[in-house]
Amino acid sequence: MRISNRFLMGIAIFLIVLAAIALFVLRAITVHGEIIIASKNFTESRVLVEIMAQTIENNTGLAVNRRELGSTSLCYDALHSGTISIYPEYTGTLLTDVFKMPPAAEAMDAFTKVKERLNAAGVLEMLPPFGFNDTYVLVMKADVAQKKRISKISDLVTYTEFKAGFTSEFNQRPDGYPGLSKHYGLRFRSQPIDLAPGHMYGACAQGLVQVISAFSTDARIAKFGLITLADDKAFFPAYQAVPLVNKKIMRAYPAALVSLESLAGKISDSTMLQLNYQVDIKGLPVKEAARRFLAQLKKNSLRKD
Amino acid sequence: MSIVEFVHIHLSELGMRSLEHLLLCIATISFACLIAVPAGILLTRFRTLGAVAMSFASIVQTVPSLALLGLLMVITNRIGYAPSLIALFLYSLLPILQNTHSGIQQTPQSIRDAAMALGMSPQQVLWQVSLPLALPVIVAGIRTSTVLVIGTATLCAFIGAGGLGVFINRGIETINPRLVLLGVIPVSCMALIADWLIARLAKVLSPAAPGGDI
Repeated sequence: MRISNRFLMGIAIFLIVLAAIALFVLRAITVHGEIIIASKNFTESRVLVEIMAQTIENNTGLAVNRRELGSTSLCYDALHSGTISIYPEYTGTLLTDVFKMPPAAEAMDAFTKVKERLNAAGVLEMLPPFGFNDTYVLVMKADVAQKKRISKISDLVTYTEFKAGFTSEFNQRPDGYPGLSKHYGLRFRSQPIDLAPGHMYGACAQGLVQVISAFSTDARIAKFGLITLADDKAFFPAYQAVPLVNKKIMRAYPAALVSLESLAGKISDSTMLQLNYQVDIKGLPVKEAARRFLAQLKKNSLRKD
Repeated sequence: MSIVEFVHIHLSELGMRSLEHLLLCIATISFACLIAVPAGILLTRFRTLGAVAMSFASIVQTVPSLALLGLLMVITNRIGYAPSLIALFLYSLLPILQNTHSGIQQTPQSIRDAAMALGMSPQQVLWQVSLPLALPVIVAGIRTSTVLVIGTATLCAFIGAGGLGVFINRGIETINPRLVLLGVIPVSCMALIADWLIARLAKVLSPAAPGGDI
């Protein structure tokens, strides 16, 4: 037995052709649409992306490519470099996590502060907010909180033996545990552990951790029998959700920008909670939840006219 | 929601995600074979270079996948399949490189001596003796690599490359085990089928003597 050159050439050509075909088809199915909207890896972000994408598609006929990225910094960097065109962001996150400004002091005017910074840099632009505020909250199991008479974050200060589970972002961000801990003088004896957002709620409900970080519009708080602790010393800034766009890319699609502005103020806190509930608890696909929301929005506006 | 209903509403996306996943893996493995097999053979000739290349591949293997993906996204300034392809390619190198290298080096000295005694040049010993003997080991490396890549490709969902990892992320995020399984089961099946297929393909294509087995 021997390996001939022809055999090797055959294998090599086969592999090259295979790779070329694979890449060609992959390109064809993934790179489409002129506008790329990215979401972060949690339900609310996916829902907002789908709402924006369908709004643009319905109103302008442009094709929109939806992508998903792992974290705030991945999204922000990708938008800044023009790899993506739009993503939904929160004013508080931009203020503290991206621009590294102190959280508590600027709580009231996060939007104005962020707008100033973005205008000065001139690359990105915020469109009018969707209308809801999705702030960070600390969450506990309802029966534990009741037994220990804990209802606000400052009540936690004496319970240093509590185990806390936060998302890795919350553990890092200045508007997360580092800042919170300073603001309230809150120091858990053991360093809070990193938990994936999807695992936090179950871990807290099972009593594996006593305190978790969560988002105020998250339907899972109620579903798992958890309650939110009041931010009694006003630490968290306002986290208004806004479409963040790359100016240079979107200049070419004025109609898309106009259609996105029609969403301004249309999603209230309770509407967003309801949308998250549809997806997280009811298991409705994000596309369908967004479609129903937009259909309802259209019906309402027709009724008003 | 019943299982039937659940599968029904996700069916079209399942097809799309599976295709993305499959194509990404096919492209990666093809490139990996094209580069790593010849490199592995070549490196048996250059001892120091071989050691350096092998440790490089090992180091790459130890970099956490998410970190590598994030890094490549910034370096290539792209999201989606381009950085994913590079990351998966780097991960897939080690098993193929290592198996090719050691497969060829492990030809018993006595067999090599016998071939030399028959008047073969070192070149001929490599192509006609060592390589055919090493073929099963090389194929085993490619199979390991394939299974590894199909599994790791689920992480590419984090940088917008889609694939079946999308279901897994979404399922974990929304605490929906069915959605996780919708990603996990096809990935496992894909890995098993690919492993079997490559083994079959190697058997059919191998230039073995009639009746012989590689």
